[in-house]
Amino acid sequence: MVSLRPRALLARVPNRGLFCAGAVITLLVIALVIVGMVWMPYEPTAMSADRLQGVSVAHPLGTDKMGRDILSRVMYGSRITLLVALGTMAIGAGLGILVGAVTGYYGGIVDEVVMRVTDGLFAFPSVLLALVFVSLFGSSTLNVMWALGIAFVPSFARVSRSEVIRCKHLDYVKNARLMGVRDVRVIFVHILPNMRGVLLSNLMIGFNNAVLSEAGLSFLGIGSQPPFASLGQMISEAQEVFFIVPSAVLGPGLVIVLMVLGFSLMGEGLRSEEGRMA
Amino acid sequence: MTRTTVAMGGVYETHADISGSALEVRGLNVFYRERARVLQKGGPLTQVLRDVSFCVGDGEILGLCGESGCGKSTLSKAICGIVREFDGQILLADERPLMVFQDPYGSLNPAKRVGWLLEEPLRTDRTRTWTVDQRQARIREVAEQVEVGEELFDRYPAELSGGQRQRVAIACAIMRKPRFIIADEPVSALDVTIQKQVLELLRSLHKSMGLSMLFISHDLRVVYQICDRVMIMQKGRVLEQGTVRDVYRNPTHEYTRTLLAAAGIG
Repeated sequence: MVSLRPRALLARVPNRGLFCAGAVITLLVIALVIVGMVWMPYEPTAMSADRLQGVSVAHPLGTDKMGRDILSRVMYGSRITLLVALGTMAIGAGLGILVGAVTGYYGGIVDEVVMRVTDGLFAFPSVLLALVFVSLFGSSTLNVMWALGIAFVPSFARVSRSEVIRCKHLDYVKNARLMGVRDVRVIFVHILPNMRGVLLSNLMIGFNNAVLSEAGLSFLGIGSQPPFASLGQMISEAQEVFFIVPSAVLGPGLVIVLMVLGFSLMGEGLRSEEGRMA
Repeated sequence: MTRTTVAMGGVYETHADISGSALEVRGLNVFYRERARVLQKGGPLTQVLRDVSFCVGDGEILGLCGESGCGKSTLSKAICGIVREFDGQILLADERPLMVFQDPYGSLNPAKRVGWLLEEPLRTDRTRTWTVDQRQARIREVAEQVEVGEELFDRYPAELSGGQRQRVAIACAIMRKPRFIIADEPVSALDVTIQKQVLELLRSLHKSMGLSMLFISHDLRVVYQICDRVMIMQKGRVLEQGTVRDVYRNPTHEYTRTLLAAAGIG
């Protein structure tokens, strides 16, 4: 009975212009990643004698100091960055929403303890937390995902906790409990859908932070290891040749900007004045 | 019959053997404790209801009147089985009752469509399982009873008027074919013409289903229109109860006279 037609859903987005602009940019980035999965101009790790070439027909974004094609590396790198950001969101938002919703609903001592722990996690910048995690468990793409994901749990836990607390005293929740609806169903079927506006725009913002954190970490050399590229790592490697081949920095930089911009605009578009979907 | 003994020695019983009544409350004392914080014991007990006894007969509408803070909502919560700290007996002939709330803007989940809302009481019925077809048949039947057109099933509560929302809320409350429901100020948030329609609906359900009701209101005019008997409460005590005619003609308490005067009756 629920209509999931795109047109009907779009009609409920408060600021359609911003949302659509963001969606177009995001689709562009996703297209780049998908094309990269099927076809890339060169092997992203293949070195050649054509080192530090500028922009040309053969190498649209030039080559780096080992003669690798930058466009191919950008395509591959944005795949990694997108994957890590999505994984981070899945872990951070999934766990965060679950923890926040359950502790907010039941309250009491468990709530106090969990919230003080997340306060503690909040005290560390997420990148620092991820650094500690990675230095404990080793540097791999998967570990970076977990590290950032766990660092993102507190912010989602806070949001979902406060929303659940706001909703749980409302009459429709009381009504559901009177009907004898089980707690799990009350939380996830009755309350959660009312949080989707807030959660959605938080997901978008969180995604941006995840992209930036991943780029920051790989700039510092954590995450996917050379010769495999990730966007931040490419920028880090190319900074010394910035004035010879500017596209070596600007190419991956532009993709990061587009990713963040796309999701920011979509998140902004989803937010109405009260911060929830109309 | 299902009997639960709660803290403080109260007895809460569903499917109780109380022939002729839908609800019997005997010597009910309800206490509230200041909410306990972590590592703290709860505060002192405050008594909210004092020795409340009454019964709602089978197929009867009992009006419950009193100013805010007199214990009306506590009483309804206790009857619904939410309040767990009481002394006395609450005996129900049927299941735990459902409620119709005052504000139809708050009692319907804004994220769900009307059709889903109507179906939820059946999906979550623990006393029996309803097949999809049975559920559909039942919600059509009840929707017709409360005059909610099927074209509204696809709408969200925000797209309905106050009166339509209250009809949906009433439909949800009677969906499981109960014999007794609680209506907590069901028309106070509606404007006068809609009030009349909703009251008429409750009255017709009362007649056609033999539905008993505890009708909470602060407006004695509304009580006069729909109730068989009325009970006046003040500060957690029952001041008087009797048929609407008796109480309105010969109020024995000064407080009842004030209420009647406020309603423009006495």
